[in-house]
Amino acid sequence: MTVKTAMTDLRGGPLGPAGDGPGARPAGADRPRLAPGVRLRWDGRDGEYVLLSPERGLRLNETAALVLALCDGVRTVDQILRELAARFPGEPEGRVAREAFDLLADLASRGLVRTEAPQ
Amino acid sequence: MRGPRPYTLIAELTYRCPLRCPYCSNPTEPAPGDELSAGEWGRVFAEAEALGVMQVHLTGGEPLVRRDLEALVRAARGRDLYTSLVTSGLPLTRERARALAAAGLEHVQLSVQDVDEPRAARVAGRPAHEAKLRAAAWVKEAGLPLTLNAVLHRENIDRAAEFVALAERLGADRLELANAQYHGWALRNRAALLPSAAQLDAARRVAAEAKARLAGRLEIVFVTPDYHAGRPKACMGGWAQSFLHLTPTGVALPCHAANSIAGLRFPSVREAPLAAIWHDDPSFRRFRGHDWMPEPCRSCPGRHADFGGCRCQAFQLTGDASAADPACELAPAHHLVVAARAEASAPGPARRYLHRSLPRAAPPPTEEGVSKRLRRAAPD
Repeated sequence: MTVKTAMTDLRGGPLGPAGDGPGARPAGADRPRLAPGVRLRWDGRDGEYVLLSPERGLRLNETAALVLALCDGVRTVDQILRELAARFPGEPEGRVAREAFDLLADLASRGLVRTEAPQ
Repeated sequence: MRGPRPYTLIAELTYRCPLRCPYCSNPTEPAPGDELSAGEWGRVFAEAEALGVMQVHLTGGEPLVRRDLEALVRAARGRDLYTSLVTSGLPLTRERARALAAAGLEHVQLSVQDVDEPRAARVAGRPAHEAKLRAAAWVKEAGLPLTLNAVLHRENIDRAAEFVALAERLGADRLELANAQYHGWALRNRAALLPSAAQLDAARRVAAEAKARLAGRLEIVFVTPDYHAGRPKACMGGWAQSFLHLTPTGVALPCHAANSIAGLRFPSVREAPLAAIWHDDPSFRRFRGHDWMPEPCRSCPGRHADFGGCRCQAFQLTGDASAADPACELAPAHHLVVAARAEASAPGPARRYLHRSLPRAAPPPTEEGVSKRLRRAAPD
């Protein structure tokens, strides 16, 4: 079984394109954290993690939820990617890191993950 | 397959509001009755959570006029519901913003009517803009994420860029540039509110540019008015599919305007459990899925994406709630929308608004008042 991050809209509709502005692309030294008003919640009814934010909810699979759980504002992006790679030693070289980075970039461009210093 | 699950509860705590916006989504003739108590809301939140709800919007009217709002926030958070406050900001104080944050509030959506006081006051029916700017600062100071909600219409849509600048200046996290939808009060004021296609295109370009420029810092959401969309929107994600709406007196609805549809009776949470209402009430089942659809919806490939559009709009424009949404180009009644658009594109001076009002209790009879009314009623 391959590890894969996955994210879908809570209501089953299309996720919509992510934004594509400056500041959306995380750098290795950034310390990502969930944006204010965004939290991860376990949905016992469907047995999935949900990322709740103003006006929307995203279903995450376990790998995607793990990536976000590591976004504590202390670890850097590089550290998070290294930790993930270490947790899935059976995966092809670089694959988990690549997927996790894409997920972070996507969530950052949606404003759900912040990479700049807290105000 | 399991039935649909409501993810979001829209809780209208009251219809009382200090503002009188001419596009207010509250009913034009609200049914009388006592507002649900904090205890009743607590029971509703528990039932909603058990039904699958994960987010609650505390709205109104103006929810801050409820002195027990902090207790309601605590009750919602006690059920692990993601809790948003939808407010005009007018009655907010710095202390109350802090108290709400301490109670567990997670997000505030603040309305603005325009970008300066005189123009905003023309819409709101009273000066409120400066108070809103203070409220926005207190929300941020309390550490809460802030959504600025601007309802767009023909008199303010040309200032989309100024709304973006205002949101940036206030440090908002989200900006909703949401065109008015034409139900209830807004339908009565449609001639004064509906923008032209050219105005809409210009605003959409401003929003797209801002969205790209501010991605990751300030989320911009642009909502097109149905009248200019060509195809109907997936209203509420489909009738009774993922949203559950409660009026101040506890009437359960699939959307805020559903009560305007004649011939449907919606149940109250005072008379039935929420789960029974959601799954089994005839009003919730009436337009669920595709079986109710007439042509051209019934065989339309778009029906899986748009669920036939908006039932309330169909009823308000054609008198038949199961008709194709007139916003759709394929609808037999689409000419009604085309005519309204043509009217909106015609140049002319700003029109008067019919401001939202609440029915007032009849004044106690006095001898003077009664005799005056009798004189007025008497034939010459």
